[in-house]
This record gives sequence, structure tokens and C-alpha cells, in this order.
Amino acid sequence: MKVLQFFPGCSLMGFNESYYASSIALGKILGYKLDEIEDWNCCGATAYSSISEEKTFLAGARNLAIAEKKSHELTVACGACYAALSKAAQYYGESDKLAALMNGALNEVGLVYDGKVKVRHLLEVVFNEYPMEMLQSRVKRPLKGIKIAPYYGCMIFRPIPANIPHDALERLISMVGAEPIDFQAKDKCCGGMLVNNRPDVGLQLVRGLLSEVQMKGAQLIITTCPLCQLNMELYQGAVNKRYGTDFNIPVIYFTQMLGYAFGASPEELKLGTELISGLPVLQKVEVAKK
Amino acid sequence: MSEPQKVRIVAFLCRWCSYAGADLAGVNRTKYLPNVFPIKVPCSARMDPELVLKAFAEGADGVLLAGCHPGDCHYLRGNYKALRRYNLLKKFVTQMGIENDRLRLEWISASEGSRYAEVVNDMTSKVQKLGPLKWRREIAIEA
Amino acid sequence: MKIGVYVCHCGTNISGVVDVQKVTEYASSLPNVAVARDYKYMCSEPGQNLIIEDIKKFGLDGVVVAACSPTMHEPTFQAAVFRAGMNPYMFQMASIREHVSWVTQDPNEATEKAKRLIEAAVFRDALQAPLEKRRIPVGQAVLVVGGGIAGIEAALKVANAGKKVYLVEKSPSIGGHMAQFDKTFPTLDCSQCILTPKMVEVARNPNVELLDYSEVKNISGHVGDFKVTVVRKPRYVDSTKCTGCGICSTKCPGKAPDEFNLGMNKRKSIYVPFPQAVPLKAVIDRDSCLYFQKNICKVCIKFCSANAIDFDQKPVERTLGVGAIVLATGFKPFDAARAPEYGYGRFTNVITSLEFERMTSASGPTAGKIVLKDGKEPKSVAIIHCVGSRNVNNNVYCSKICCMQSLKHAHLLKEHVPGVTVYNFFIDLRAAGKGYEEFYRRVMEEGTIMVRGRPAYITDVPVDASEKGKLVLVAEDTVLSSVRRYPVDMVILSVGLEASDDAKDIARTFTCSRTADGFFLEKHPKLAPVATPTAGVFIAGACQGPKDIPESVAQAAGAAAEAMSIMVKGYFELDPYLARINEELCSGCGVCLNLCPYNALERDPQTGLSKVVEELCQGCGACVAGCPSNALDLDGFKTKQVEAEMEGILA
Repeated sequence: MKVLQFFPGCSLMGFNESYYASSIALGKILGYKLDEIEDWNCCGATAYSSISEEKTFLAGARNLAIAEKKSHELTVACGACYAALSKAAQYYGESDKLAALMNGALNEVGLVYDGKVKVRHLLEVVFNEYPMEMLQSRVKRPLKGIKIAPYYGCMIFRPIPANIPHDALERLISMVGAEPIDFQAKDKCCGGMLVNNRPDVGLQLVRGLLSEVQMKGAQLIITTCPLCQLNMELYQGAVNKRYGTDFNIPVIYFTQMLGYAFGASPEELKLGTELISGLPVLQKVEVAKK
Repeated sequence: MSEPQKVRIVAFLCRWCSYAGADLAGVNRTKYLPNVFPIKVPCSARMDPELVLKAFAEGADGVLLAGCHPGDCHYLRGNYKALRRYNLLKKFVTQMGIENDRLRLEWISASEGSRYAEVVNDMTSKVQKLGPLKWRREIAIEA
Repeated sequence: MKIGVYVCHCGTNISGVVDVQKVTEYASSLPNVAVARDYKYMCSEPGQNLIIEDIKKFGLDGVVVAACSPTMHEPTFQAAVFRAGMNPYMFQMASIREHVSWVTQDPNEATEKAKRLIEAAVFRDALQAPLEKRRIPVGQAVLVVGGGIAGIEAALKVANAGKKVYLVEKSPSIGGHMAQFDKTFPTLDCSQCILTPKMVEVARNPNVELLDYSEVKNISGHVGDFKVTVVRKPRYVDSTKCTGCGICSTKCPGKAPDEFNLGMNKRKSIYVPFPQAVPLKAVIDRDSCLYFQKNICKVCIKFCSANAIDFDQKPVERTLGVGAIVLATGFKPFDAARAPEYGYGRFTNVITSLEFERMTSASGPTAGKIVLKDGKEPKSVAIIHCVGSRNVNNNVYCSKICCMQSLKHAHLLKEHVPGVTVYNFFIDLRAAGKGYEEFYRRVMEEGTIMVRGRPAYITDVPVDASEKGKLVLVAEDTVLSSVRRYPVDMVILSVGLEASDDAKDIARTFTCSRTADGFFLEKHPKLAPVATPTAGVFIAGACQGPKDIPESVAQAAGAAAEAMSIMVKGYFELDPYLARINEELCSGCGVCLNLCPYNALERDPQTGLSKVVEELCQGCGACVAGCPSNALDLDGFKTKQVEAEMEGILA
């Protein structure tokens, strides 16, 4: 049983606990266990970074210091957490000034960070640690006949690229029997926080993404980040209202897609329990089951 | 707090980069501690390890070697030679009982006046903490 | 030794902090010091006269001046002592301004430090021996590598001064990238029209020997006496017979992408590079020629009335002797495929700036018509600045010319395509040359829409009917603070400039360094932009860094002047700091041989000992420090002198 030191982050609690649930369920099938680190705090991926980027790295540093006590690896599932923590870890090594600031703050709470933690996204772990043949052999419900849009979001590739090829999700989609669409904007911004404070910008970006998904005939979108999931799904209504479109596409996590294909129950994967557009998701998936 | 000890550090500065950098510190009137005495050499590669040892033997409490940044050496690759010699010399010197902070290599370009001042101040304070080397008195030098 | 020591007040720059009286007194007490004085301004004429008179009066054989940095006034005082009959290298300088009075807080510490540095200088001077600058004779020919505008200009300047020039160009014709441009900013002169007269002059000038379709294989020697081996690649056409009539091309069945037109159309396997090519001769491309590939055809032989085809032609090597070299090897445009977000190569109507130049050229692949791939005229065009530049993913530097080029393209679009909408997407607008800002204003007044924002990506996926069939740029207009979609028919990517692919090899061959961006390293970025640290090798044009045509021409003239100044004097002076070998101590171990980056050390075949090649030695001292037998020493920086300086400091 592989033990992965895990940072869930606020995004995997509450609103998006389906991501956490499906990550655990996937672990049961593949043979890994998520070991949540103790007393973690916010990763720092908030709007505060535009006020003081250095201080947001301090938030990340505390998590890294706690993680380092047990192991030199930290897995995260949320794209934004991945960006925030991998940046904190990388810049610690690149900037003496930042490292001194981090350790100064950590010392005050009796912690220390030696720069040894490697941050990985859950997709990186699943893709690299398990050979494709092994994953293929676990497929119990091939998702034949469904077109799926692989949406990576921007943070898994920038600024600290995760160690996955640019078509990792497409390969996983094909592996479970579905058809990935050629999604040009698959790693372009989902609008992030702008859907709130600048809807003219944020919703426009979401619209662009959804248009392509719809145009290329995908029935489902899979994501690697709760923030992307939120923007792409929760705000479909707002996009429709603003632009007169009629988007109605379910957005689930790649862990849910894999888990479902590998035979886990919808309840275990918390499929259909998430948000407003949750029910159509379940229905579509049930249709595929036939 | 006691008076900082009087120490003397000999600095070998390469003519093209670090000496010019030190000049720039002067032009900018950047103030730094007066314990570092520059000797101009054509290239950091001129630095014979024997000269460094001689410096310590003659009473230097610290030796600073400064050259152009890797890739920028006026004589193409001299600073790489200086680096290799320095690495070996450092091992030897520390085995002889001379503390780490007394021998230092820095890359200082002609535009880095403030860096020169920073290095001078930093090295001086570190050597002051260690105090005078007094090597001359402790090891008899055969004439 | 009788040394005179002079302590300068430098107004109050020194005397305001250092107690110059005390220091002078101290100096006079040092061994070998015959006289010590202080004076307000040593570099002034009365100050210099003090030294000159003392030399005569006391018979001084060494002088130390404690004042500003040697970088400032060492030459001044060296000249002064020389006038008094003393060898200039017997003069030493101690910097007590830049290194003492200007940087030390406490006057007592400053005075003490000044004493130490003067003592060091006096001890060093006592061990100095007179040195003579080395003179090496200079061959009277110049090699110019690269036949673009910079190379052409440099060659013509040298030739018109009456000296011989070898101009080596690796393509079958000179002209470089400038020959590919349509119009030049800001005057909108036709590029070829202003270039071709110079190209013709190169061919005509009796002092220029044009080595076309040739490359430099290697060089040896040193400034004044370089031996350069040049290889002439086979054209498979006898240049002495070919008239450039072009009939062979019209009959040739073989085709290949036309390099001059950046692959936008095809040329024949036997071809003349472009109508204004110099030399105007045909060349055969082996890789597409049916004879070379399949041993058939030979139609060209049939139709060539001059009997110029020669399939058996071989590469020809020759060795040239030159005194100075000018490298003018130019640049290569950034490969737009490395910016995948813009879809170059994926979308048919995304082209590069250079491709657009060929498009608007009357002699280009579309005969000067601005058209989309399907032949229709575009109704809207977007021009993206800074592609590949100012970007941590590609090149961090600014390529300097792309803003002006982009504005020029906007103007040309407005001129040739009535009613076209043109957007220019920029980050910062750089229009810093003569007439450039005025041109920018003109382009704005013509109605080009300037958007300050770098597009994130281009997509052909429409969100609504208005975007169908268009290329949509998603970009933030930072002035309006909004993200917008811009549907257009055509996109022109203003690609940046990069060092050419063979820059690395050229640098190695000519002992040139390169800066981190890949361009050749100049001797000093401010004060010596066309010289290199290697004596006798100069650089000009875009190979030194991105620049426009006027700057390339100016640099070419500068490099030519540098080369000429070596020729005209007839000799070249090197610093007297030479490595010297004490043969009695040298054991012939050979450790020093590999330490010299200039190959200035050789093994004497008869004695087996090491020998210094004086003309190549640059006086860095790397070998001196590495000699296990202490057999090597460096004039002017002798080991004993450095030790003496140390003693002076540590006294």
C-alpha cells in the first residue's frame, strides 16, 4: 500500500468534498492511501497574493515545514494549491531572501523548513506511478461512446509544470474507453476569481471554454482543480444569462471518471451530489452505463 | 561589547571585473569597512595557491579572491581555473586549521560596486569574529 | 632604487578624509624612497611638472603616485614620466581615493589604509623592471565574414581606403536578410533598391575579393598575422562561364522550397537565388537535383549555351593571410513554432513578419499581393509584437526592431488593402530612432488600432456566428482593463532576432565569447561595442545583438575603422605583460601547455621545455599560477612583486 502524504486544502473540504471522496475511493482501487498532514493551513492561493506575494508564501511554507517532518513528498489534488505550494517550495530554493523570511516566520512557531519537500499533483502521481496497462486492467465500466473534454486548467502547467505530458488526461480518457476531444483551450485560464469581481472578463473566458467543448460535441468535462470545476459548472447559468447561450454540460473530477470506470459506486465517488448541475451529470453517466 | 578586533584582509582583484567593481563602489561613495586591502592582478587565474598561503604566513587574517562571473572572463576561462584551484586550496587550508571564513572567492563584475562593499563588510565582520589569525606566531617559518 | 612618492589631495576628495601630511611623512620614511611630496592636484600640469623635475633633480628611477584609480590617470602619469625620460612601466599608482577616502568613514582608519596601500605600491615598484610594449607587424588584408549589410559596408569601407578585403559569404549570394525586406522603416525606401547598388559595388571593387558560397573552416595565428582556411562549396556550375541567364532554371524539372521566400513557394533545383543576386550565377541544390539523386535528367547541360554546368565540381580550399577580421554574420529570426499558443504551422493564415515582407515584395511569391492562403484579400489583420522576445519562456531580451517593423507592416496593409482593419498588439512601443516616433504617429493617424496587451492565444473555435471562419485572438487590453476576443482573417507574428545557428561554431573558431543571449561578446558594452577581447577580431551588425540597419551600418564602419587603424599603423601594440619561462627551472612537464586559452605556450621540440609564443600571450597569468616548478613568471605582475605588495599591506 503506497502512502501519499496529502494536503487537501480548503477546496477539498465542504463544497468540493466529492474530489476528496473520489480521490480516496480511487486510492482503494489502485492501492494508495492518502495520509492527510497534521494541522495544515491555507496554502496561500488567495487574492492576498496581490497584496503581498511574500506573505502568501509564508502560509505555504508552514505546510511544507509540517510535511517535511514526515516525508519529502507532498501530494495535492487542487490545481491552485499545487501552484501555490510548488511555487513556495521552488522559490525557497531560488531566493535566499525568501528562504530567510520563511524560516524567520517558521522559527517563531517552532518550525523549520529545509527545502526538501517535492510537491506533486495527484494527476502526476496517478499517471506516473501506475503503468497504463495496469490501469487498463482495472476498467470495469468502459465509458464507450462518450466524448469527454480534458480540462487541465492553467496551474498544472504554469509556472511550475507538473511532470506529466501535455496529453495525460487524453490518454486516461482513451484508456477508459471514451473519446477525448481535441480541446485547444484545455490549459487556458478558467477566469479564476474574476468570475466574481470582473464577470465581464471571467465569464467571457468561461464562455470561450464551454463554446469549444460544446462545438466539439463533448458530453462531459473532467478537471484537475476545484476552482476550475466551480467556474465551469456553477457559473454555466451566469454565462447563459449573460450571453444567451444554452450550456448544460456536467463537469466532474478526473478521479471521479477513473473511479467510475474502475467500478466504484456513484455514492462512494459522490457523483451527483455536488452542485446545481449535479443531477444531469449522474443521468449522463447512467446513460453511458447502458 | 568589546571593540572589533583589528584584522587585515588581503584581496586579490582581477583587473577587468572586480577591481573595476571596487572602483565603482568608490565612485558611488559606498562606505565599507577599511580592513580589506586590494591588490590588482590581471586575472583571477593569476592566483597561485602559494601566494594565498604566503599571505596568511605574512600576517593576513583573511584572503579574498575576486574575479569575473563565469563566462565573462576577459581572458576567456581564467576564472574557471581560479575556481578549481580555490576549491582544492580551501580543503587544504581548512585542514591546516585556518577557519572557513578566512578564505573566500567571489565573482564581482565591473558593475557590481555595491556587491563589492557588501562582500567586504560581510567578510570583515566574519573575520573580526574569529579574531586575528596569528599564524605567524604559532607556526615557525623556516627562513 | 630611487623612488619618488607623490600624494594627491585631489582637491578635498582625498585630503578631506585622509591626513595627507602624515601619509607623505610616512612615505618618505620607507626604504628606497628618495623624495615624498603632497600636492593638491597631481594630474594637473604643475602637478605633473613636480614629478618631471624631481626625476631630473634626484635621478629617480621609479615613481609612485597615490591618488585616484589607475583606471583614471595611470596613462596620464605614465606619459609624464616618459616625457622625463623614464620607462612608463616604472610608474606605479596607489588608489587612495576610490579605495580609501571615498569609502572609509573614519579618518584615522582611512589614513592608516592609505599608508598601507602606498607602502605596498612602493615595495612593488622597487622590484619593477622597465618594460616595452610589444609591437607585432600587421598583414595588409582584412577578412570580413558575412555578406549582409554590415559585412558589405565594412568591406567597402576598407576597400575604399585602399586595403584588400576578402568577403566570405556562406550563401550563394550576398545581401543577407536586408535583401529579403520589402520596405525599410521609417523612410519606406525599397530595401533592395538601396542595397543592390552596394552589392554591385562589392562585385566591382578591385580591392574586394568576394568568396561566395564559402565558409571559414579554421584560423590560426594572431592579430596582424591570421592564417584563415576557407572552403568554397561546389555550385556544380562554373562561375567563370555562367552568365546568370536563367534558362537552366526554366527548363529544370526538379523543385524544392525557395529559401529566399522562406518556403512560401518553390524554386528549381538549379537556380539563381534572386534576380538581384551578387554574384548573378546559378547554383545546383544536390538534395533535389534529379541527376544527383537518381542519375537522370541533365536537362540543364542541354540548354546551357555557356557550357557552365559541372557536376564533378569539388569543394576548393584555400588559405588567406590577413591582419584583422570583422565578423558580420547576422542573425536568424525566432522560430514562431516555439510560441505554440499562436498556432504558427497549425493555422494557415498565421504568418511571420519576414514571410509578410516576402509577401509584400513585388518579386515575392504573391507578386506583392497581400492575400490569405485561399487567394482572397484579408478584411482584418492582427500584428503581434514581441513574439519570442521579452519572454521568460523564449528570449528575455527585447529584439529592438520588431515594433518599428510591425508599424511598417500596419502601414503597408493600410496602403495596399483598402478598408482593412489592422490591430497591433504590443507590450511597450519602442520607437527610439531618428524619425521613428514620427512614423509611429503617422501609423496611428492612419487608423491602425493599437492594443496594449500581449495576446494569450489564438483559436479558430468560434463562440458565435461573427467568429466563424476567423482566427480569434484572446487578449487583455490593459488600457481598458478588459479581456477581449478579436476575430481577424490574418495574423502576422513579429518574431524576434536570435543569434544565428552557427554562432556557436563561429565563436569557437574565432576565439570569440558569447553573452548569455547567444550573441557575440563585445569588449565593452558601452565603450567598445565593435571590438572583442580577442585582439584583431571585430564584430559588426546583428551578430553583436539585435539592431536596425542604420546601427548595423554604423557599427560596420566602426569595425572597419578599427581594422584600418591596425593596417595603417603597420604594427599592433600589445601590453608588455608577458609570461616568461626560466629555462633553468622548467622541467618540461607540460602542465602549462593546456592552461593557456590563447594557445600561447608550446613545447620546444628541441629542448623539450615550454616556450612562450609572445605574439599570442595576453598576460593573464593562468600558466604562472599553475606551474609546479615556479618556472613561469609574469612581467609586470611578478610573483615577487605581488609578495612585496602583500608585505607592504601587512607591515
